[in-house]
Amino acid sequence: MTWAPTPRLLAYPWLVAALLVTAIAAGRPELAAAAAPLTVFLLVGLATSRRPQPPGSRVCISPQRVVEGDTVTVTAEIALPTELEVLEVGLPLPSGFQLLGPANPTAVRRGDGSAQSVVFTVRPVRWGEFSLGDLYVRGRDDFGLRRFEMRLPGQMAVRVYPRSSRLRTLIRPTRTHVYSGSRVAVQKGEGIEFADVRPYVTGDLIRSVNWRASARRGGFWVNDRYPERNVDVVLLLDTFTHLGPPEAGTLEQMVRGAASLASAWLRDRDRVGLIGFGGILRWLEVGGGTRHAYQLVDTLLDTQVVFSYAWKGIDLIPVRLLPPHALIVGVTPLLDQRIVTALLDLRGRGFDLAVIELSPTPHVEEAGSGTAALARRVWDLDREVMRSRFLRAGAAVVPWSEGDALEPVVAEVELWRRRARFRGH
Amino acid sequence: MASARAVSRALIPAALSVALAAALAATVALRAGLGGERTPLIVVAVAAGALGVLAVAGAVAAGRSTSIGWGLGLLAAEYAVCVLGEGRGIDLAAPLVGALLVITGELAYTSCEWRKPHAVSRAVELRRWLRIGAVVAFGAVVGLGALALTSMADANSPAALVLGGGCVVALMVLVAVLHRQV
Repeated sequence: MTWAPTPRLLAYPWLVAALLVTAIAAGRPELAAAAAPLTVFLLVGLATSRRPQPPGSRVCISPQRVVEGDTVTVTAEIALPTELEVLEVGLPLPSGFQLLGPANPTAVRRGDGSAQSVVFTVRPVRWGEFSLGDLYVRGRDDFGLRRFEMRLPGQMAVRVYPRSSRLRTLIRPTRTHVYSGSRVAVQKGEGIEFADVRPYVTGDLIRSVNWRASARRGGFWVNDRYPERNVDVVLLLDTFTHLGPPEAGTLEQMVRGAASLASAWLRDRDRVGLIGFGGILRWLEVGGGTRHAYQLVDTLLDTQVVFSYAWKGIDLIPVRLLPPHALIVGVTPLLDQRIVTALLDLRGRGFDLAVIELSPTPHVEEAGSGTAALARRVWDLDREVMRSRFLRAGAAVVPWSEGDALEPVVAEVELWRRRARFRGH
Repeated sequence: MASARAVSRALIPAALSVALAAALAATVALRAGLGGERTPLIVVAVAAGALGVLAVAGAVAAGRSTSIGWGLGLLAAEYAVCVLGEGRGIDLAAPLVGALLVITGELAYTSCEWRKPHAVSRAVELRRWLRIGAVVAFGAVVGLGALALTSMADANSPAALVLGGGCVVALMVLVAVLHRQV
């Protein structure tokens, strides 16, 4: 708590003293008369100034778990000290929050009741875990000679989850697992999707008999079907580099994209894992279900770029994080050679790989002319070469720009993979 | 960083304080000129007044409240130089000069406070200005009373000098005691 003099109290006494001393020294009562209003102001102001008691406060934040763009209400109940007529209440906002109302700080007057309520409405514009609820209060005495300032602790954690877009198209892995799910398996078996007709063999169910084919071809013919199975998907997030502003950079885009992809796969009863590959390796093993979905989003919230010079390859990734036949989706701006090498290594080891490239172009300054333009062209060509390496290896690379929808990007990846299957990759 | 709204709200007291300081400096200088003052003293007074106005204007423009005291001091110095050079009868406008100094200072300090993020309660602010007005008016009356008292007595007598000096010391001690009292 601070109870300190304002600049008035530092200036006025000197001015009064100077005028009075000059009046005495020069024998001019006018100077003393000129000092009189200032002297009375000072004396009355100091006599009425009382140190206030610390105000009581209670802060309530609702809700404490929100999705980006939702509103959060911070309600503060302040018990004003009797020494102050009005108190300014300010809510320090962490970056990533917007104030919707009222003004910050807000004046709270001493009313009839013992406590006054201030309701701040804020909107998170960035995912993450934030501390909110500390209040700063400020007041002054009746003549503004002394200032009262205090920080009222009321910090609470607010978790802001990334807003995920609903995807109708998803990347179809090449191989499915043995557990039932929503993906049509390549192998034939018990399922719903029609695959083929074949001659009846002993042990086939009577209900599998295709009576039309049997009547046309003679003998018994039965339907073959594709079973519905689930898949394992591992999202490999590049946390080596970050480009762009804090609210709309590649890291934010990556987490939003990963949240959208993960929620879509989990909705279809697939198993999803997460690897944050960067300065620090973070992971969540593949799993499914509602609990896993919450764990995955919580892990995504902790995603951050940690700068490191150390070379990191896929040998650092624990083997259990990469189940056999899993689809690995790299979400990366492809700016760091370590992630490029790691992804190509994974593809080289036979993993099914697709890459969603977070386009760094919107965050790169336009090249002017001369050397800068030439350097930009070389950089663009270098990136083209890198993409072609992935495509030659049989991994789709589709750029995704900030602000664009993810759905067409996923559809393009799937289209490329379908064509690649026909080409025999 | 102050918001545009806060800055525009601070413009009114800033403009008023600068206008009041300029009016005060000009009036004091004009009165000294009309009174047939000695030229060097007028030059010093006008220079002090102009510097005072500039100091107040600079303080409110930059939002630096620490410089306001210097501006007020220079304006008071202008008046002191004029009074010292005059050598004639008692100037009855002295309490008014003091009152204007307080109002100028308060407007300038308010402007600097409003430059930063702040919350204003209109009713509370109105009451504060009424309170300041009343106190300053009372101070001006006290100043007039002091002038009346000194016109009756011989202001240059040793007894008056000792009494005046004692009052000044007592006053400053009182201010210091109140200042320390929390």
